[in-house]
Amino acid sequence: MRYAFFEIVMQAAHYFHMVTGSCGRWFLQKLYRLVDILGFFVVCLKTTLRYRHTGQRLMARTFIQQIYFTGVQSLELICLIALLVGGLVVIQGIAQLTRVGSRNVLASLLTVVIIREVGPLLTAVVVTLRSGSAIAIEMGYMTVLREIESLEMQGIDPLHFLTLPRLVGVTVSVICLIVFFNIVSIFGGFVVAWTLVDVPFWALFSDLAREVNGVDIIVGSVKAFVFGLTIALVCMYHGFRTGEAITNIPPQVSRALVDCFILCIFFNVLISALFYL
Amino acid sequence: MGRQALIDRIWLEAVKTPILSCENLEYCEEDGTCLFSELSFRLETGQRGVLLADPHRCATILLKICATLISPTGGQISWFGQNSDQIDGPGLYKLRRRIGFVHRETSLISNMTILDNISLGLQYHEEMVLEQSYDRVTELLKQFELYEYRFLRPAELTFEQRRLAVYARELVKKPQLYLLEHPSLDLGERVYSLLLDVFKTCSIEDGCAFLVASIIPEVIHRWGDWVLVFDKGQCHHFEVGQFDPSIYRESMKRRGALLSREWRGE
Repeated sequence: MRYAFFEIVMQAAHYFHMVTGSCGRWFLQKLYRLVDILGFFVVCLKTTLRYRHTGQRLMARTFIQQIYFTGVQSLELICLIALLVGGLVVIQGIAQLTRVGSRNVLASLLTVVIIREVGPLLTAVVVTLRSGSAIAIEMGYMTVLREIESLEMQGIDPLHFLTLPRLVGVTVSVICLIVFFNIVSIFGGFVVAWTLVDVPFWALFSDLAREVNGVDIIVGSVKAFVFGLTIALVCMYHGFRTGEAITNIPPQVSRALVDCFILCIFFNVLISALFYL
Repeated sequence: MGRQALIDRIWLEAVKTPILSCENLEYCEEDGTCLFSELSFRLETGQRGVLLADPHRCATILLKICATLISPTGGQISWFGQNSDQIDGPGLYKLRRRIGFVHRETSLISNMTILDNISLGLQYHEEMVLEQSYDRVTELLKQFELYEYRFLRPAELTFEQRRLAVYARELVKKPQLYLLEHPSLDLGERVYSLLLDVFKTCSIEDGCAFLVASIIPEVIHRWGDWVLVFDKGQCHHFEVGQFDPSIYRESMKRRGALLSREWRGE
């Protein structure tokens, strides 16, 4: 009897060890990757400073192309999602707030949910899915097809030529898209509120103007900047690490997207906690 | 010392300095297999060296070491009198602009047109506006019969045209050292002769040096002043007159080392 009990304890200890071990390994793996990505960022910054006067015309052209692809071409999608999300928040808001008789805090709810949290996060998700994946795939293909090597033999540092326009382009695009998302989704919300519950449009607008303060704008900008940088950096990092086999591209892209998503949520929580707690 | 004498002295020094120099070069893989060791050679201005190797991987690795893409595990290598350990990151990129490297797998950037691919270096390093850089490469494009395909992307061209575009891209750089792997690969006899003429002009007029890797011994007649033969980890140096391609070819054939399709074009 005592022996059986001892065996069960040993088994439980073994499983506990296995679970904590794999959790620890998973955590360490993520931590190493994060440190590696930070290292990649530092190297990119150093390279940018070193070659700041080189190839400016060419870089400007690539930067504009990146803005067009990430920013301009995703406007339609962002517009649709923003309208739907704005309407959804207002529908849920009205349903819940009517029960407690505080329909007048609708503008406050819109500010909190859309401007502070959902807007930046959803825009980051859309940009990750659309442009982040494209960047990771492009870098992956360039690595596999030895195009990176070709660039190096042209005396061009790929970290400068490929990374800088994408980093700046995606960051600028994300900042603009978040502003656009917030405007469209609040407009969508107002339209739904006006149509469903006959709340005067201008009353909602003046409530909103009162609710949005400087901190919200700063937080929105900080989030937009951090998300843009994170998406471009993580996707390029994984693209460059593709190796030599073409079969490495899909897993690397999936890793890039998952990492982007996790990091964006993590930074979102961190920034919100820093500013609002 | 007079001005002319000073210029002459500087010129003589420049000519005397080898373009590429390797001393006791060694490359061993992670599992300890050494592809070559104690390899020494010099490539002077206007000289042309040929690498024949079995397996060909030795030659590929040596070319990549000479192109600064990988580091040797032992020995010394210097380019234009500059030792490898004296060159830092930015210096390495500067050096690469002086080396034209056409590896058998070298590719063009697939999302750029042929014109952009060839003029990329000019746009990046020399800050040229698009039209200026395009003008600079037009002559070469016409010579290589690529002018009418200049706005196409690499995937839309034939293997031969793509290969020519890679050569054009390297020629635009005006490097002093060319490292070429299988120069005849994917090229028809007419185009290959055209390319040879262009490179001969580079060698005679600009004093460019060439290191060519091949598996075809006859290549020495067209390209070489000397030949390095890698055989079972050993390296043998021959001058053109001392080397008999037919003996080498026979020995390779006996081992079944050469594939028939790789004889094409020679």
